[in-house]
Amino acid sequence: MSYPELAQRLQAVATQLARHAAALKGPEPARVAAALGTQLSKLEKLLAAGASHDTPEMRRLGDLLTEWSAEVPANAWAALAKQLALKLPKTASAAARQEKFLEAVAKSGNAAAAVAWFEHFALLKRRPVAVLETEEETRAEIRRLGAGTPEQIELELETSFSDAQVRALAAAAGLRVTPKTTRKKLLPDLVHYLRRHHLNTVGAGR
Amino acid sequence: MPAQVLAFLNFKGGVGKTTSVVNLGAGLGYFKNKRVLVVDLDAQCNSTFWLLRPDHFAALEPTEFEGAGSARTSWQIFRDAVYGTSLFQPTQAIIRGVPRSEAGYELIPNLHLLPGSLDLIDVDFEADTKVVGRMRAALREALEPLRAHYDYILLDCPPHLHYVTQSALLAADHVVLPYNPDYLSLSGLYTLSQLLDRIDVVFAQQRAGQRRANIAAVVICRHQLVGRAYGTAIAELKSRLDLLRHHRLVHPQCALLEPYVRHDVSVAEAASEHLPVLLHRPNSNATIDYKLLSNAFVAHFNSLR
Repeated sequence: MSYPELAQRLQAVATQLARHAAALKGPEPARVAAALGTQLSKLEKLLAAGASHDTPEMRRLGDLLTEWSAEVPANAWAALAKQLALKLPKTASAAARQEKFLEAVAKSGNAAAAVAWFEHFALLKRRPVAVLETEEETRAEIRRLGAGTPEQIELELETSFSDAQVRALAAAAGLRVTPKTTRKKLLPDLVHYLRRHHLNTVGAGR
Repeated sequence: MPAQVLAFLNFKGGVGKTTSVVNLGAGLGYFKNKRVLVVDLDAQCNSTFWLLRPDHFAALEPTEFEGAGSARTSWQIFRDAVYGTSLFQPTQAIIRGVPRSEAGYELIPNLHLLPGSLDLIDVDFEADTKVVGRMRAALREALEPLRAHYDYILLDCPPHLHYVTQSALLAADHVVLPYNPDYLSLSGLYTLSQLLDRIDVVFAQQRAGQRRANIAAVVICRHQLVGRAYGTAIAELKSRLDLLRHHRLVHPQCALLEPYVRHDVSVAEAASEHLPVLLHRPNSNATIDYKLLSNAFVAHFNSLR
């Protein structure tokens, strides 16, 4: 039997049940009806899960994941999960992570936000590499980066800037950078000062 | 080569205009052997009070800032413009070799002072529309014959953009901006650069073909290395200067001169001693910084000649 044939059968059963429900008497119909109700609940859940995967956003997200998920750094996955309020299990392979991610997004109903995140990520990956050869170029990059949200800036620093470039940005923003300063230690301060730098120099249309 | 006339200006108060004029002027005269004239245009007379002992100033202004004494100050330049007189005599007004020892000996022979007067505060009230043009041009005309005698004429401007400051902008070749590294100064820089641009347009005719006075250098006073507050604020200043250069709101070669002068209590002490810091504390951090800044200053303004 196919699913469309099952659907027709269920419709016929529903019609008969509506017409002759008063004819059902005794424990046997009640037991069968209870068992049928349990199975129908399972079927409804399966149908709902299937339907949530079958939206245009989920299809777009699937495409984006196929193209970019292998390039998303581990920190960025964690930040994304936090941003979308998803609980992602630790998985061994990229394929498993992609599948779990899709399931979690479908469940949470955050497909549009996830698509926006991956489209931004794709944009960052397609951007030309930042040129930080002179102090003036570095300051121009600081002003551009500082226009983003903290999440966007953090993602861009994670994905598009080498350690040396992050250090160069921090030094040009006036932060103290020593040989021992790590990227991880720099990032939170750098994000704050990039945003302040933008606000104080070109913010409010100046 | 005629003197470069440089207006030290920032319409934010307390940023170190007088401190820069006095100590940089002294550094240029003492370390670089340049001939420097400091012109005090501020009614607060801070340059004057710094470089002149109170007893010497009292001799200059015998009648509590009124009467004949004020004729030997920058105020007389504007008064002549208002009343059509010619009482300002630079040879009598300019005090050579300031500061002086108690006995009156010149301590920096190359550093001269045209004192200010508290009467400068009246200039804006005395100017009616008929004489405003004359007043604005008065300082330029008064300084013109002095250019041949100096390498630098440093104008200590009041912290506003009224007539006296406008006259300084018309007289000056460039503006030097003393700067405190914080956001309030940063926003002031943006506003000042726009105001200078507007003033330049409005007074274009009175400049008789001169180059526009524009911000050509920034000097930082009272710098501190503690924490990250100053480093990040200076980064923002550099960024703002990049943008202002791009929009032609400052001189195309406008530079943040280094070193930044470190915060040093010797500078405040020096003002009370009526001495530039290089004479009061020759081995202080501030003296070292002003000495190096004098080198940078000469190199920068030579490149703009």
